[in-house]
Amino acid sequence: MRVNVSRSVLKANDAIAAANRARLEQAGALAVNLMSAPGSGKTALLEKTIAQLEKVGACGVLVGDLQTSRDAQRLQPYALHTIQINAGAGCPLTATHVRDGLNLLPLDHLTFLFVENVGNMVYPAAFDLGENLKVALLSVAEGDDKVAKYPTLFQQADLILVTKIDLLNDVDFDRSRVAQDLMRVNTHAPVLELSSRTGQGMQAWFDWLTAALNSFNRARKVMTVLRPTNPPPSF
Amino acid sequence: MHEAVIANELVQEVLSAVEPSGARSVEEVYVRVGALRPITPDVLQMAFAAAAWGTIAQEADLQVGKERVLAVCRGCGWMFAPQIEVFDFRCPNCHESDARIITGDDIVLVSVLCDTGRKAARS
Repeated sequence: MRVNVSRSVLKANDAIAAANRARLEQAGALAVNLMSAPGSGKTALLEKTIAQLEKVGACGVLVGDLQTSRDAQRLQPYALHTIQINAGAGCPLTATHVRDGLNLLPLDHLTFLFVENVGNMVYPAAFDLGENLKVALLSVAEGDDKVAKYPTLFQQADLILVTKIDLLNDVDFDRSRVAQDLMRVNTHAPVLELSSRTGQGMQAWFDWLTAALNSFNRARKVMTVLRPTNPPPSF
Repeated sequence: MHEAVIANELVQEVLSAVEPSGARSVEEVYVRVGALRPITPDVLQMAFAAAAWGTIAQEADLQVGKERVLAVCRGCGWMFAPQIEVFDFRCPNCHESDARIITGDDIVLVSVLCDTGRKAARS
């Protein structure tokens, strides 16, 4: 007997992701998913970013790793609300991991929630977590062919950060190759170059986050107007 | 091993799909995987076998088909099939790369063949 199903296997994950997104929106926390290879500077970027954003609002961080809580320990001095998620051997973060992380955070007090994804350029793009924005990082030390090699990650990104530009003189990194590959993959996402170590280019990243927060809040306001607070009268 | 996560979900979907028919065993499972999914059929089959172990689907043959990629340009609204062999997402109409993926990013359980122990299903 053949049973026709025609159902997405990802719907369980996507339903949890949608619930995460709704919760974050209600709490007023903008969720930003940072995706990149290991060692491209996600944690260093967050250290500097959280310190700077203090003026704007409180940050929470969900840190995904296969093993250890070292990144969470690094971030704890900067963000009070840091939760380490160990996804387990070979597993990317899924919406379930994020939901469990959200349960441990005081969402109403947060303005930004950063998800530092497991360092990997293939799998983080495979699951919706319920984030609002995806940021792909690429350090100049990794080489200029990453966009061509891992296009899916960059295709989905809302912003692309070229990190560690203080090392530009010490490595062979050709910006024009990245730009050329992005022509085929993503011309929608802005590309910002920065160095967390020297602070060069960081202001543009802070400005981007602030602008994203403003449009997130505007959209929330519109939704509150559209969503009836009381059930419609029944006749 | 993102296949392991997928395989677990897939087994749950298969079992709940055949449950109303009172199946004794699942013989074949057909899934269609979007061409953009980082999935290797062999690995998915291995992960499925592991996830289905001890269930009525443990002997099932997993068939993996491919779903092609379709996208819409966010800029001009043009619908097109990107050249994914070279990962070219440029819109043929306005030449920008601002594609929203419509198909080719999903994993769909299409059908399940199961043995109900009956010659013909009652209508």
